[in-house]
Amino acid sequence: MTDVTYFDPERDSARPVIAVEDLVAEFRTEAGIVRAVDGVSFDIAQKEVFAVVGESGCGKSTVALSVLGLLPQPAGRIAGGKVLFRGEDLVSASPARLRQVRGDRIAMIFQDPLSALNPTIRVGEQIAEVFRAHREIEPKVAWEQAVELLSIVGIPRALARAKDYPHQFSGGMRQRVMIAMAIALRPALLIADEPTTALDVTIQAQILEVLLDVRERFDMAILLITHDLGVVAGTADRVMVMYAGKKVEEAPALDLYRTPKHPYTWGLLGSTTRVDRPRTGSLPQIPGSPPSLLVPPPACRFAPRCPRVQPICRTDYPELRKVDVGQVAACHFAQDPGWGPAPEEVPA
Amino acid sequence: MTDDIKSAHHPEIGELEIAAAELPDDTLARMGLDAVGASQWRIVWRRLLRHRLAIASFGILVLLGVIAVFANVFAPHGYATQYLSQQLRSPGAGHWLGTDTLGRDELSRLIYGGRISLAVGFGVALSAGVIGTIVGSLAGFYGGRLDTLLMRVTDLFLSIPLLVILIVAATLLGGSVLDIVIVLSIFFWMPLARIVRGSFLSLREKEFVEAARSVGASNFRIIVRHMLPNAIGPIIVNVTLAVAEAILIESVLSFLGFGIQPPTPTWGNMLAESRDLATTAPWLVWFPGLCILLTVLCVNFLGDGLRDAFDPTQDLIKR
Repeated sequence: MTDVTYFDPERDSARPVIAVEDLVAEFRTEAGIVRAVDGVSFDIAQKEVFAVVGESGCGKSTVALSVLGLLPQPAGRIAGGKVLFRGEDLVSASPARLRQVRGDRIAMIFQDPLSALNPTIRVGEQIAEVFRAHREIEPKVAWEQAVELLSIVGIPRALARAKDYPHQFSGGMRQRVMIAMAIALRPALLIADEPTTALDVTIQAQILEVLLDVRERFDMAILLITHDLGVVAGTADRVMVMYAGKKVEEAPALDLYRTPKHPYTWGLLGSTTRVDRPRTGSLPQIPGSPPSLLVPPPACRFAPRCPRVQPICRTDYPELRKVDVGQVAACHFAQDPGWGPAPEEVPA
Repeated sequence: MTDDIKSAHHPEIGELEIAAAELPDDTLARMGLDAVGASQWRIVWRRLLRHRLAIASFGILVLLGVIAVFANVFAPHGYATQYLSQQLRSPGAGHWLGTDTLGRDELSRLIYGGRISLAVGFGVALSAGVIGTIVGSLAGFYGGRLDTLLMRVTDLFLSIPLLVILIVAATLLGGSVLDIVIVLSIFFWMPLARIVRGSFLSLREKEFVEAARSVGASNFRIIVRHMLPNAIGPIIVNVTLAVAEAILIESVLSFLGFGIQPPTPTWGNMLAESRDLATTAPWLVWFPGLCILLTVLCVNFLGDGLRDAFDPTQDLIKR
């Protein structure tokens, strides 16, 4: 896979493309209000690949949808915080302004490319439509642009394939079409929500390759939502780990793998398959399941499943603590010297 | 798909494997290739042409339409001309389809009757189709209060007995073809509205709608461009069925004294008038009935072909 590009604060010190501050997103359900995202902050710099990882239901997709103001209506709403896109708050922006931003400055690709493409419209037409939604452009020019985009994302015989319908493409090719659609207007930020989950492993690598390639080509920042730490390892510059709607750790990608500070992070790392390690029986797993977000644990949300849980974890909420340059973790003991997984917890 | 590949195959260059990005701007045009995809309607038309039954049906409908429009040219006799010495003639020379109790030529009456029956059938189906589609898509797309309001209005219309309204309308309105189309349209849109609402409710949750939103498409665009084409199948089936129903209901109207009055013939009132003669002069029942049946069958086959033509995932070759 491609070399990991580090986020360099000096080179990329210009203000972040997107800064999310204290985001709170809620869903009204029959059982009560669920806080799917609870006070999450992060920012993404130009050209940076920022990954959000966590298990199902931890709120990572809700973060992505909140950025675009696409929470499912009428159940979902942003209950607090800001989403600053180049300094402009999108949470308080008008629907018309949001529609301008969507697809033009911030674009999104989805997990399942088959259901995210309209089955009744030719793919070239669907890409061309992005131009028409945002620019005064002649249909013919839009179509030619669409064909060019298809060849940029590596679709062979783009000219002929643009006239095909989504069901005539394979899974990987469909995801390339989605990417072509998303990058059509050279957005500053590309949100990729589980872009490789529906694909098989060899295709996954190709799609990540395409993402990194368009990132280079168009200087885009990428917000990568995934539950696959293998995907993160080769792709992301920085990683945020979420658990039960909270940010529990954030670090440059390599540091996260070398020195994970939150017990949840090392649990995640420990439960990853590694082909470069000898096989040792069954894969370790984190015992228990994530807490109900209707009635979250009062203090540390990971306490009920934590291997190192202490009395304080059940009484006091652990704030994010700085443990290294660019690395923070929401654990009471993160700053303790020598704090980290035991060898058997992360099969090293 | 085969067509598209062929069109990308140039006699001198061969199979086009070149990425378009590497080509100068006017290359496509110079190669004689149409860079812009065929419009949706041209595609639908092309695929419809391969559906033989649908095309045959379309041909028959056009034929019926032309005959009805130029009835005065095609009809051998006037529709009200009575041949008093030739009442209830069975089909044969002189009167090919026989005569009725008043000695009027059955063929001529069928030809003239087609004017009104076809106009009412298609007029009602189309206008009710438009109303039903609009109401259903608004209710299904926006949901919430608008949905509740529109659906209660739909229920209200469904709960009014058609006959009562028709009797009231008969006393208030003149009974021109336009009046009939309007009155019937007002009572034909509800089933379609419910069907369209149903498919919109499920389409609304589809990811491609969210994807369209994520590229900044407006609500109008999402409804018209992304959702309607995906709901076209049930809409077309419903509209074609409404054609048949409207032709038949028109005869009920005539029977009740509203609508087209004798001696002007319609297929419906010809059928209604001859109901007592089913045993003594059966041709008076058969021929109007056959006309209605033929029209309805053709409309249904055409609708079937249209539905397939609109659905790109359908396999095209149907022989």
